[in-house]
Amino acid sequence: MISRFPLRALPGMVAAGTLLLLGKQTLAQPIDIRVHDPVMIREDGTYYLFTTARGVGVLSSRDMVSWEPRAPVFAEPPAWATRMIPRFRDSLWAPDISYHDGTYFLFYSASSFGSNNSAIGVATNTTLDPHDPSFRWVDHGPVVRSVRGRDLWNAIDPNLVVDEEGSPWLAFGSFWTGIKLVRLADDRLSLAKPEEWYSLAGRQRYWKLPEETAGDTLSSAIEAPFIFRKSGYYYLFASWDRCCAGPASTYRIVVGRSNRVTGPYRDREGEDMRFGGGSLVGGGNRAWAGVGHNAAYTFDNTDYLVFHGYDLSDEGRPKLWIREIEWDSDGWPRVTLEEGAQR
Amino acid sequence: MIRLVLSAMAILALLTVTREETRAQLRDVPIHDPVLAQAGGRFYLFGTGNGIRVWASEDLEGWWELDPVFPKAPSWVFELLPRFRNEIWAPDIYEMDGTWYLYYSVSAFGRNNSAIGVATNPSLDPTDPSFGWRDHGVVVQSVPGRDMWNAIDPHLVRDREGTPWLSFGSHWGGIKLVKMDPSLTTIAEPQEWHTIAARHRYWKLDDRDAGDSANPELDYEALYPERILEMNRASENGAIEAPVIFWKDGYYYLFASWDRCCRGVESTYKVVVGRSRGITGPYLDREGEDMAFGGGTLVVQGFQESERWAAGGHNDTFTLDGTDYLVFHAYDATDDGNSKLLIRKIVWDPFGWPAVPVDGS
Repeated sequence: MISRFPLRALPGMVAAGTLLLLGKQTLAQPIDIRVHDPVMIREDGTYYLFTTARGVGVLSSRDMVSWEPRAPVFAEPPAWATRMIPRFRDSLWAPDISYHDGTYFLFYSASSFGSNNSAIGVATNTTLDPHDPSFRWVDHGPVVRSVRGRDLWNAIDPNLVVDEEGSPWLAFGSFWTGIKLVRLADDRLSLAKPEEWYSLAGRQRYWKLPEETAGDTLSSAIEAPFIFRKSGYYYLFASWDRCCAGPASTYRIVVGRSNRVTGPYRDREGEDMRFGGGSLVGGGNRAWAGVGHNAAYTFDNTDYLVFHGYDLSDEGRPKLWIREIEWDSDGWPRVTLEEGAQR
Repeated sequence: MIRLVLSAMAILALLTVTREETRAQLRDVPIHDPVLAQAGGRFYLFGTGNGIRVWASEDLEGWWELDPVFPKAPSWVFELLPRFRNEIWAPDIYEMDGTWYLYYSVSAFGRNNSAIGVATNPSLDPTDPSFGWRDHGVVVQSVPGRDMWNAIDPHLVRDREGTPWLSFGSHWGGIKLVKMDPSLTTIAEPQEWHTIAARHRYWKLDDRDAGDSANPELDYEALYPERILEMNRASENGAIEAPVIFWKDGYYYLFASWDRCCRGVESTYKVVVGRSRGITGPYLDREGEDMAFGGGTLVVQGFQESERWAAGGHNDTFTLDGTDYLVFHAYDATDDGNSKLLIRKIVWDPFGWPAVPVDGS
């Protein structure tokens, strides 16, 4: 999320989207629509994708294969973001979608390239179906904010996780010192008081990097946490290395797991993700420069990883991937990009 | 036993009685983290202790103790630290338009569950009818797991354009500088923050560890291999605190304290300095090294140059009749390593670098 793929191109994706009902594809292949940082949820048999775009991009599908663009969440950028974030350019990044007790919660990121003058906001709706008379996004403003020079973390890339006691937490972070976890209040719209924070994952950051510098592929390159509960573990997925560089992207997905939402998250070799640990879940190959920024969901007893990959056959443009997660006998997840590897 | 008797005699010998008043005066002030103010022909010292300890003097030589600033801890502190026992650390005193601003630190040893508060008073003289401390609560707070800094050791400074700034910090990621609101009781919005000094901190330290393995909430044996514990013991993980910024002859001088305080004769505390043309830095030491990345030129050492003073640090600066003084505490090897007030002349060399002979006057 540090220097996104040219975002001005992304609204074009929505316009072009009317053309992209692509007939029969299966989930064994990438879905040839351009998205960044997809998250997904299902309501009444319809899947909704939310993505990085002006106003937060929305697509819907009945089958996870053919996707139809919808109006963005925000017609106008939230006024608070324009006031709070210097050089804010309308594009809202890396949303997160969840449902609780009759309400959909959409967390989203407001920032500017390469800066950690950023904030995570939240909007709610009682339905995702735009034809429903009660459909209306209500913005609740910023939940957490980072300030350059004050914070060695970046308030973007949110993911809501509910622990085994039912308490909501927000994981987030991109570069600097990595991935943070903060307890939310029960309303899920603000931080719990007193504030309770943890560091979940990080990679080495050269200590003489200026604090306004995010990092680079040699330093701090971790972002996009997603915590998925399965079989008594919390699995923390994160993305390493370089996103958003088209064919030069080296993005990849790693994972660790913990018995507690607050960590420590250890990889397959027992390394703590705070100190560079992480087991590979999926990465680039000869056709895909890199893949990353994933979400994970269970639909009808099947676990899916939802992410984007940079398509080398299409100038490295970011494309939607939805793949079944393969769990090995030790409970570690993998996804493969090779065609025919699944189904 | 003989030592005890001798110590008692030494203390008695230091007690004097002023001509007009019968209060006992002390020449060796048992203080930590002193700051010095002058008001109404008197000098006032504020230091770490229960409710913030206060001393007064007519001449900077003989001192008598006044009532603490806070007979009871400010009530807001208990939300942050439920078991707070009114040990308030490292105050700073600043005067603006006839009002005294006293910044102070509340924390718990080894943790950055901390805050800097501020109280004001129109007078420092307890006999003045207008005297009375008014607390304004939190200025800045640090939260474990959130912040790589510790909201203690405040120092308020105004730049040449008149903008007020608060510098503060101890261990973790070092010394912060944040722009203050003109009221001097809150930080300015939009917020402007800088890191002006830091020392290397091994990146695999738990972020709830200051860098000294002193947080009682952490199980260090399980957390670290021996070599990291050894780094922490040797103060090789971010041991810097207590900033003071002093303007002189076109430079902002940033003083800070390195290494280990509060261990009597085992202390390795020392004062270092760097300077900058702008208040936000970079503060470069004599060799051109940036204090944000480990730079710092020694100003006060301990045993390396003194037989009596094991170590000294946590300084203030003070200018009286055109002479600059460093005000700090040092650990007296001739008195069981107890911490004492030292006020020493700053010697400026031809290149504008300060030196403070700890055995000087």
